[in-house]
Amino acid sequence: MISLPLAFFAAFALTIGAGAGMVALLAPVKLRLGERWALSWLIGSMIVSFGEWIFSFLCHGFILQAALTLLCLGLGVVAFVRRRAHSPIRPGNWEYFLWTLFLLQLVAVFYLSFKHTLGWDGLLNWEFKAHIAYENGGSLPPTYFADEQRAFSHPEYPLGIPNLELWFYSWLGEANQFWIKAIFPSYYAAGALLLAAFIEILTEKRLFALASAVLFFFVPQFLVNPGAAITGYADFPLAVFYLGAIGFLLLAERGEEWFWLAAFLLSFLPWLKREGIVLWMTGVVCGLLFRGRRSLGKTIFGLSGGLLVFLSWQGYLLANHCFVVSDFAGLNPESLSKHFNRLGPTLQTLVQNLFDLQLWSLLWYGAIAGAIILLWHGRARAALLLLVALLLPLSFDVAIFLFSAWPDYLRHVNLSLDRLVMQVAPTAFLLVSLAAAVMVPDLTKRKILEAGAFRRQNLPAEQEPSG
Amino acid sequence: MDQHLAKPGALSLSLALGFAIAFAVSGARQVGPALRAGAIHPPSELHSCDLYLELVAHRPQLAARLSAALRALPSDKPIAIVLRDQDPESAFLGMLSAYLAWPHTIHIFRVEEVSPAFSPRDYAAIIYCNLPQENAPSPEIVLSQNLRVALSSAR
Repeated sequence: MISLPLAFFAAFALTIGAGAGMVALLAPVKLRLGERWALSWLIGSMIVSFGEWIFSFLCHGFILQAALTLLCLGLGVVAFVRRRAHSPIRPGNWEYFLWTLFLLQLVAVFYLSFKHTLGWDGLLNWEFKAHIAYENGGSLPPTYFADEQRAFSHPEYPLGIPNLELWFYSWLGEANQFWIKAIFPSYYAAGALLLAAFIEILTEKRLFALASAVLFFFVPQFLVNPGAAITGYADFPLAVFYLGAIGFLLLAERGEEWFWLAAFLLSFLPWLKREGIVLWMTGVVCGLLFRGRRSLGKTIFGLSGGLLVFLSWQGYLLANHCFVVSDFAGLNPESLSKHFNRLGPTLQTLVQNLFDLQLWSLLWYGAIAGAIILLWHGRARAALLLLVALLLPLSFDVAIFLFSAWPDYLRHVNLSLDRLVMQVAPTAFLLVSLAAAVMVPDLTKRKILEAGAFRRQNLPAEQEPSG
Repeated sequence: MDQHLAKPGALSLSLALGFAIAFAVSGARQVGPALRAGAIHPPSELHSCDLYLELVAHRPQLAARLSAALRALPSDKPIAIVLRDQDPESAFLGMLSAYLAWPHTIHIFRVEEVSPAFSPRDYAAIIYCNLPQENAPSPEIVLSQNLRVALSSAR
């Protein structure tokens, strides 16, 4: 019997392999190593998670695991066959330094993850489902969905995270609450690497991109508070998928492959969490508003995946007579007019939350300044796309509490808001980093030398800079 | 510094650098203490449940034992979990018990002041979560000061 760490590594490698294969099919472009790893993890994790659900209609137990393993191996072969050589990059001393810092931070995130328990919701809403499904041969029994007594675990929540945990459990040979925590820092790593990749592609400032990835570590809500990346909640993975989708939509005007990567990431938002449908809708609005020269039909086709996933899951819940305890009362005009006075206090709570240094450090101060800087520097497309991507979900987060069924709706707001804001926080970080990168000059030696050479070639001898 | 960084470039760089330092310092004040506090506990299957139970019931490695005991009960009868919604400790223990009672059917009784009206014989076990001892209708196993399990008289 192989040990638990080895089994975990096998499941992890297969997940990455599946993701790498899909990335090779979706984006036949030269990706940098960091973004290739990040995308392989994100896409691979959803292939195995969604695959667990689809294959569970056909088979159970060992056969289910074997079928999914074959799928991962097949996609891994695709990744190997379609691999492309990376253009050699010679990092400078500062880049080595920042990479070392980033790797040390990753070790710290894994350490934090292993040190802490799964968060309360991470345990009862997500891991519990994986545990049940593991003991039931790979799927949740229909009795679970109709069980009123276990409705506290929200059977209506989608299975993105539970099924990923299930995949690892099937390789570990047991439902292990310790080892499963290792999957969540991987989302942190993917988020930071994607962020760096977007900044580098959009501004060609590699040093600055790496510095952004290092600063990602200093948003407290990402690492230490309830709902953080290490607690086993779905909010942080959802936020990283959203960051990826919006980042690739920003890049979509440079090439079609980026759009298809964005569309793929958007499709899985409703599979990760119920609120994912709001983020998906926002992504659709951004995709349509900023589609450039891409045809409307092609854009709609690409963006419709999320709706399909959402409707499939709702149909499944209906077929299983799922018992739902809703925290929200009827979404109707009467409720709206009755509770409209909640808007002010909820908005005030949101503003207090955004500017709470203990939660977000200076992130949201930077986001406001960043939007102004991007507009000032003529980056209107990026500024507007990012503003829509941030403001639409935040507006929804405020509006939805008009319909809260809790007697003390502000308690509901306070308990939920950190996590709702976190779903868009990495995208806000992208806005801040992009604005800062646009504002400051490039500091890499190569660029400085190129600038110097250009000036020497183009300036008269007497004007040539000395030293 | 190269001359082309002078004037507006240097000002922008200073602003960005100042913001980055303030950002990192402000964030580190929250992240740093979290890194220093506590240590990694020995790995176990029910790692998180164990630590939560240890926090509330003050008994280490209780989750695996409770889970094994509940699994050994006959599956033809449900398990009753009695808790007080207004008492966070009680609700906390109740939800953890509901987790550990899988795959048994459970019935959760939320009581405030009066005892729930149910027949103990209808249940394979009754778990009392932070409730006073006089509520018990049959002999009990005291797992901790605030967690007791009464087995059905048939067992």
